[in-house]
Amino acid sequence: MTPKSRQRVRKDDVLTVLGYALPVLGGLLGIAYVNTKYMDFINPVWAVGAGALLGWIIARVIRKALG
Amino acid sequence: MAALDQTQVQVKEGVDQETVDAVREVGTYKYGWETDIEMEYAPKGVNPDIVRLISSKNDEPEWMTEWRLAAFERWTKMEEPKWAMVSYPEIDFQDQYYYARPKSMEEKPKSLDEVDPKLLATYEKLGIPLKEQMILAGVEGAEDAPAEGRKVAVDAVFDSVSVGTTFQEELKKAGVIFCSISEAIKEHPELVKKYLGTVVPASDNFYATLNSAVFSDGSFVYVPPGVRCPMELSTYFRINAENTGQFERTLIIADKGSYVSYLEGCTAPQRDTAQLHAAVVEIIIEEDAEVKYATVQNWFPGDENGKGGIYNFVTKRADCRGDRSKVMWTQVETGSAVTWKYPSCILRGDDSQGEFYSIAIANNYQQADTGTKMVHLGKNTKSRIVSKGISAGKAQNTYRGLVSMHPKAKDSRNYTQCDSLLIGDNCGAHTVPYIEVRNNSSRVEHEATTSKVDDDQLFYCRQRGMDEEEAVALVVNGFCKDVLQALPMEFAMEAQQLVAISLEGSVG
Repeated sequence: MTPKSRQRVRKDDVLTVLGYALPVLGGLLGIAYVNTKYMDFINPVWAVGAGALLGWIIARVIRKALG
Repeated sequence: MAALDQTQVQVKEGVDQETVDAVREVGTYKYGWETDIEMEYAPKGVNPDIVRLISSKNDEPEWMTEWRLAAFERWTKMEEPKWAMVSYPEIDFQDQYYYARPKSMEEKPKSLDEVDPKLLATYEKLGIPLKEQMILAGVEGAEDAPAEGRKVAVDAVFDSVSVGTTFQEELKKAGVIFCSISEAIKEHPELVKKYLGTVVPASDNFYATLNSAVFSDGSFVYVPPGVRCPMELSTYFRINAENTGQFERTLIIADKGSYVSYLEGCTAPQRDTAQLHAAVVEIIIEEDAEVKYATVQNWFPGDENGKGGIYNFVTKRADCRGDRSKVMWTQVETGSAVTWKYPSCILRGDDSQGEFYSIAIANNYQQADTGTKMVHLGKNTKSRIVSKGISAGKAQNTYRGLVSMHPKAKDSRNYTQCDSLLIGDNCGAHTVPYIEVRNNSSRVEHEATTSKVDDDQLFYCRQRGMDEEEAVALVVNGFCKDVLQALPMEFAMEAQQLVAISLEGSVG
């Protein structure tokens, strides 16, 4: 395996992980937001869903930009 | 009881009396002792002369005396409210003292040598930090003494007088005024005149009107615009004299963009006769300001047969006048024989917020009728109510709450959670929610549960070596955790222990 292909494999790995990690992180941020801003009366289901969706979109954008 | 009888037998055989007394004290009211101190009383009863006497004792200006007399005039035409779910023998308002102060407090002491040692010992026994004792005793220059850890400024009220206020100089540097209300009437009459009675009018209700006529002392706080109060403020109320009512008045003003956190605590000696406590708390919150007000109420609750205790009839109200203003009430009600108390929020400013967190514990023959009022007047106002009621023994616990959405309170929101826990077969829990919605864009949610302590939970705890009382305390603390979390860190631990102590003897 040449150094170039090894680098490509690492980048692919990172991009793949991002596709899973960012939606999860987004969901967690949604939970944190609901708990800290509890007087905004946001439905936690919507907050988690919106956070996960946002994470997924960001992951897609990064994949598109770097892929 | 069998264990106690046994100890009595052992005393006769020559066992140390102190040890037996210490054992006997476990599980009883911790602050039930009395300070043997020489007191000065106003004559018994209430009439215009007594009102004038209280006013003159505080060296008040003429306008204040007139205000009190007008309130007294109104009070004579009012009837005691009977709608609350509490029952108690009729109070003879002419058979009690309305003013009592330690004789040694006639003139403010200037050195520690002049302070009545009994007064100092009282503070020490109540657990008020030693370094603050000198200041509480009114010793000049004691404010300069360094304090350890996080500072809490204390205003100590002993029967009808404020004994002293700590850290006044340090607060003054930040622009914050924290003193007794009697001092504020003399030193800052323009502020008192502008705000006193504007949130709780002198004609508000029977007890508030009585308080307006005869209040003797209390606390005053003014936080200027844009100032974050550099330390927690607190007031400690102690009833010591027998057959004396305590009528204190608290006035808190948070000007634009300011912040203050305030805590009040209270205790009283253990007596066979009931005593009256009728307080008024007024909070004014201007634009973008925030006030957190916490109460740990530990008045004597009466003995296990319902004898004695404090009748606690209190009117507390916060007026969120400015836009985006916030208020948070947190209360832990463990003491007093009868509680009649509804801390309220008037959400006048647009986007203003009110929060109410309450734990009400009633054991033996205690009766608590408590809750809150959230009056939404401004647009997009929000409120949240979390109430936890725990009943044990033969106690009755009532949650009574009002959520009112006025026609102009568009897009407002309220969430109410009201949980009751029953321990034993002879207690009661009642929920009386009033909900008024006069516009079609507001939302109100109300959740309520009533449950008994789960046998499985107790069994699980007991399998891990806990006795039944420890297990109940653990379950109850878990039940109350939402409210305990809302208390300032310094007092959350104390409140947690208080919750456990209040339920001692409720099982088995």
